[in-house]
Amino acid sequence: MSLASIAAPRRVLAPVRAFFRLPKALVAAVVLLLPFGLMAVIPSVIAPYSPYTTVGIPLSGPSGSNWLGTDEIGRDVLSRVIFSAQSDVVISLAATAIAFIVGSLIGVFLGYRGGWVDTAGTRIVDVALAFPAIVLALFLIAIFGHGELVEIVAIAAVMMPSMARFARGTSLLLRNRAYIESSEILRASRAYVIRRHLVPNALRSLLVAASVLGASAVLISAALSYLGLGVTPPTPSWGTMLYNAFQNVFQAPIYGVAPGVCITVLAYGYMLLGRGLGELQGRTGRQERAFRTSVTRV
Amino acid sequence: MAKIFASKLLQLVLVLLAISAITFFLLSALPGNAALYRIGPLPSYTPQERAALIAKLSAQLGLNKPLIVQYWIWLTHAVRGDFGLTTQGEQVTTLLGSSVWASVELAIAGLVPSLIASFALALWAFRTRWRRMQALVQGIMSTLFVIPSFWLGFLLVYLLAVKTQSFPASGFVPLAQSASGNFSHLVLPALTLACPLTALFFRYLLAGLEEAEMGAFVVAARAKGISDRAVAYKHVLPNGFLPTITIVGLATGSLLSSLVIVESVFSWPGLGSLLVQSVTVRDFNTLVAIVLLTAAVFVFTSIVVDLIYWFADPRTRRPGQV
Repeated sequence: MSLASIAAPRRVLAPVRAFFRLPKALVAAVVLLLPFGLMAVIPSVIAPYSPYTTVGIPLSGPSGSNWLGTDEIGRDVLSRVIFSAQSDVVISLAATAIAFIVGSLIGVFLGYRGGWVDTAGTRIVDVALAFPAIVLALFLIAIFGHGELVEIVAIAAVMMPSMARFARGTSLLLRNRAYIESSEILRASRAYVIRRHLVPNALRSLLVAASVLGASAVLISAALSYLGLGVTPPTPSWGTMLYNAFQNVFQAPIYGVAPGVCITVLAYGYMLLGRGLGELQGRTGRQERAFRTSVTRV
Repeated sequence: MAKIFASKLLQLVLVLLAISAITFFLLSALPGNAALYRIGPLPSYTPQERAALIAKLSAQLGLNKPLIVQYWIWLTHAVRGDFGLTTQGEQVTTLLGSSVWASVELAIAGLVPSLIASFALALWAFRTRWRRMQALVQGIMSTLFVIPSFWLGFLLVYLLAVKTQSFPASGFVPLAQSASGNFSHLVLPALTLACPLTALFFRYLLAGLEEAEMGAFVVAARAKGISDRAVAYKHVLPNGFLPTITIVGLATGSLLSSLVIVESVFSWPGLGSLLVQSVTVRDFNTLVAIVLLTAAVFVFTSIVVDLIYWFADPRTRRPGQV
């Protein structure tokens, strides 16, 4: 046996070891989120059945062929839970991305611009922030009709104010730094300072905040589909499944457990991701810790 | 004081005006108008006859007037409590009146216990030396914080309605009809509403207490030889619970968000259910009335919060501090 063959596993294991040396919260977040990533990308490989075909007697309990039982029209619950990740993960990611980009830009600009623009903008943001999230989302859905695109935009709109507020705070912390003042002395334009200095330096803590938005997005989208105003059936989604499970709680109590666990674990995973990212960059600021509690509860 | 109160009331009026204007103009920008909705497709009419009918009805309903005039008409009616008719032809105000009390009952039944529980738990967690139990309570609270209430409701129904059959799974009995029936139907939704609120208040209260403990006045009190208990209740608590007032206010103001979910889970006939229903059938008059009511409740609670601060924190009474 040559030395190389003994050394090989060590080389393979090195990245794995490095991964587990990362902050605990980050490791836990990746471990929690990875299955959802797989479920969203390759559901047909993991799931035993198609989410649309009837495979057994409606509302039967767990069995060897249907591990989590069947739903109200005899479809496999496990397969539907797995396929739900597609719509739920995509919707939450898209809404988070929109809210993150637009909210950050508004907030960073307001904080840096200061003056009456900031005062007026912050007022508007505060009012929007204060307005009950679900009510706002429902209002937007009532106006623009329902569909996945409207749902994504509605969720993003609900989360945008809190992101803007956070970004404004971050921008206020940075605007008096020496490198920004020196850039201003060199008569750099506002857009240049924002693009070249503020955004890159704020990005890390903004990303920490974005992961909290991710958790909010999962919860809001699940709530909307629970209310029958989100993903349209027969496309599976955890919220809709929970609603149907609730209607049949006396016949098939096990039906609602998996979708609920998925929603909670995915939201919790996003929260942990934020905490882990924060720990990765050293001391978490007071502002970031405070933001964690601003997750939209449903 | 009176001056501050007056300026807050003015603020309430301004916010309501702004929100009513935004919703009104947003809804008028939608394709189709009330006349179209009322007469429907009318298959037996020729296009000309239909157009004439629409024009006639539009004139009757005042839809041909400029938007700003329409808004004024709507506003003067709304101020008198007249939000028009629902798509079913009922008065919106009557509908609101019948559901608002169910919501208020549920809100109180959720808020009051959660306030008591969170204060008791936070004070206990703050003073205890039993670290493991403290960590466990904190863990449970963090879980309750992110758990979606429709799933919590599901679990509670499963445990307390299906397994042990202690309480009915859903529904509503008016208080006037049967007090015990009303109460037994109230327990599960109130519990579902209270759990996340408890976690929220607990979190802020504990953080506030821990922060107040850092204060120089606590060191001074300890140096004077005051007992731990007296330091906790007389010095830390009065300072530590101030931030929680704001959170309780915010949570109360946006309670309708939670009510929407909890009421649909338990078929509780309150404002939340009404809102979901009006979104589903696109009943805009009801929708606007609920949105305005929500905003009013929100601004009103923020005024109440300011008043409570005025009483609870003498520092805010200094001129120039508010």
